[in-house]
Amino acid sequence: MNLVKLAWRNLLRNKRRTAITLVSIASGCAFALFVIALMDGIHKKTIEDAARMLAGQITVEHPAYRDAPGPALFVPSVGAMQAVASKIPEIESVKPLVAGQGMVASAAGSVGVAFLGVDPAIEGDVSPLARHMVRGRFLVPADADARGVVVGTKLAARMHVDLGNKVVLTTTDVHGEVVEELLRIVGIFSLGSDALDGGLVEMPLAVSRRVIGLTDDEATQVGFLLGDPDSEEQVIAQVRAMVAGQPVTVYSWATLLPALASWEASGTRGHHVICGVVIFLASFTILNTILMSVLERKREFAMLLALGTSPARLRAQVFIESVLLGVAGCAAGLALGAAGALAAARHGIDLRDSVKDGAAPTVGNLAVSLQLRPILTLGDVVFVGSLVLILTMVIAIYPTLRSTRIHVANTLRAN
Amino acid sequence: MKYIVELERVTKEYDLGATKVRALEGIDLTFEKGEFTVVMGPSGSGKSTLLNIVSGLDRATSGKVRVADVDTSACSDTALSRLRLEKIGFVFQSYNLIPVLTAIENVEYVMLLQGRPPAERLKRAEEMLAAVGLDGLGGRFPRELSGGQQQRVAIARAIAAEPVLVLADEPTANLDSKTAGSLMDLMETLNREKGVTFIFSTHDPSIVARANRKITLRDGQIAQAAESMITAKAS
Repeated sequence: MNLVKLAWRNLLRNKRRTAITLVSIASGCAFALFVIALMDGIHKKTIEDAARMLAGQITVEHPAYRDAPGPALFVPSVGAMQAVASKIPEIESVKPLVAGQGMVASAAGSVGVAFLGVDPAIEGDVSPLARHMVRGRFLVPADADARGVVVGTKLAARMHVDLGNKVVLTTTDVHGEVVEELLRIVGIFSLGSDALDGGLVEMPLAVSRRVIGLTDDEATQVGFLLGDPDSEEQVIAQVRAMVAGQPVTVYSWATLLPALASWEASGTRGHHVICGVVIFLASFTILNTILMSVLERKREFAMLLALGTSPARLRAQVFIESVLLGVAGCAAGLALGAAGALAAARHGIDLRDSVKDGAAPTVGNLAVSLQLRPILTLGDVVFVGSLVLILTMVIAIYPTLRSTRIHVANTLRAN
Repeated sequence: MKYIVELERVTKEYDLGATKVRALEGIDLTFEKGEFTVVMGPSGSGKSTLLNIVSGLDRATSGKVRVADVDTSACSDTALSRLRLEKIGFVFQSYNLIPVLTAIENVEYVMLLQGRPPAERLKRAEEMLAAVGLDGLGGRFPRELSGGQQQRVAIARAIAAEPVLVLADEPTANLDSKTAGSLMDLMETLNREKGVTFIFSTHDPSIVARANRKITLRDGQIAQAAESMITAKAS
C-alpha cells in the first residue's frame, strides 16, 4: 500500500470533514472560474461590438488623421486594399468608412454631430447598430440615392424629428469648403450610450463620400473585421505588409479606443483581485479542516512514529492527503464552474431590463453589453485550477509540519 | 552482544513548571536475549517511562541506554526511529492499529517501512496472521475485529518484522481473561521457539506468573528483582 492509497483511505475515513473541505475548495474554484469567464465575456463582447460598429479590430488611416481628423486626410486605393485583404482568411470583412464632424439642423434647431458613412451592404450584417433599431429600419443600398440616414433616439428627440423627416447636414469637404446635404431619416436606433444616441448620424458610404468630396476609391478609414479577434497580432502584420509604401498607418483597436483598452486591462487585474478574494476566503476553511484533521489524529501519528515511521514519511502522507483534496476539489469546482459558464454562454444573462431607460454603463462613450455571455477559455481553467491547487498545497505546509511536532511518549501516555 | 538492553544509572525527570517529578531514579538494569521479563509496580512507579526510554520514544534525563549495541542516549530522533523500525516491536494496551488499513496491511506496515519487497511482505504477513490464529481475517479492518482479534493483529505486526526485542505495555489490560491467556500462550511460544525477547509492563498476575524474570518498580527505583535470570541491581 503506497502513500497515495493510504492518504485516500484517510480522507474517506472522515467523510463529513472531507466533504466540507471539498465543498469549500470546489465552490471557491467554481465561483472564481465563472466570474472570470463572465468578465471575459463582457469585455470581449463590448470590444467586439465597438470594433464592428466603428473601425474594426484593425484600422488603416492617413498618418496625420489621428492628431487632426479632417476629410483631406484620407486613405487612397481602398478598392485595391479590399482586393488584397479578401485573400487573408482571418479577415472576415473590410469596412471602408467616411467619418466626419458637422451640424444637423431641423425646424427645431441645430445640433453638433459626428457622422459616419458606411456600406449598407456590409454594415447590415456586421454592425451591432443594425440590431439596435427601435423604429424604422437600418440602412439599405437604395438609401444611397434616397439619402436615407439613421439617428439615435436622443438626437431625434432633441431635434423633434421622426421617421421620414428631413434634416440638413452641414460640414466641410476635402477642400475646406462648407457643404450641405439634405438627408431623410429612415431609422432610429438606441445603443444605450448618451454620446452615440444623442450625437451620431450614420449614412450610406456613397452619400458621405459625395458630401465631403471623396471618390469611390477613397475613405477616411478602412476597418478590418476579424473572424477570430485573437488573431489580431498575426493579421496586423499582414496588413502592414499589404499597405507598405502607401501613405497610411495601421492601428490596432486598442490604439483607437484607448478607454476600452484601459477598461479591459483593469478588468483583467480585477479578475485577479476577485479570484484572490474568493480563494483567500475559501483558504480559511481549507486550513481549518486540514489543521483539525491533523490535531485530531495526534495519537495516530504518535503511534506511527513509535512504529518507526520516519517524520518525513509521515509529513509526506499528510501533505499528499491535502494534495488529493486539492485535486479533487479543483476538479469538481472547475467542472461546476465550467458547466455554469457554458450554460450561461448558451442561454445568456440579459440585464437590459435592469437599467433605467435602456441606459447601459458606458466606456469611452460606448455602451457596455448587457447581454452577458461568459467566454470560457482553457487558459482560464488552467489559471484558476493551478491557483487553487497551489494555494491548497501552500496552506497544507503548516498542518504538515505540525503533524510530526509531537512528543510521542507523552501523546501515547495522555491517551 | 551479551545484552539486548543495558541501562546505566538512568534517571528521568519531568519538568512540571514549579516542580520536577522524578519518574526513574538511577536505574541500573540489563536484559539478555531471550528473556521473558515482567516489569511490575503500582501506577506512577515508572513502568511505562522505563519502556519508553528503552524504546527511544523518550530520552533519559541522565544515564546511558544501549539497545542492540546502539547508544540511544547519543542518537538523533531519526536514528531512534530507525532503531525502532529495525530492532523493536511494540504491543500497546489499546492495540493502536492503523484504522484505515486491513489486518494484513497493518501487519505488513512495518515491513513496508523497512523496504521489504511486496511479495515477501505479503507472505510473511499471512504467516504471522496464521500464527496468531487469524487465518482468513486478513482483509478485515480493525473496526470489524473484536478487541482480542485486534490485539492478535498487533502482536503479529510486532513480530512480523523479526525484531530482537518486543516491548508490551499492559497488553492484556483491555482483554477478557480467556483471550488474554491465549495471547500470552502465543507470546510465550514466540519467545521459546523464536528466541524473541519480551519485556512486559503489567499489573496482570497471570502475566507475572508466566515470566521467567520479574522486576518491581516503586517510586522510580527497583524495589525487588527475582527469579533465575536476575541481573538487575537496585541503585
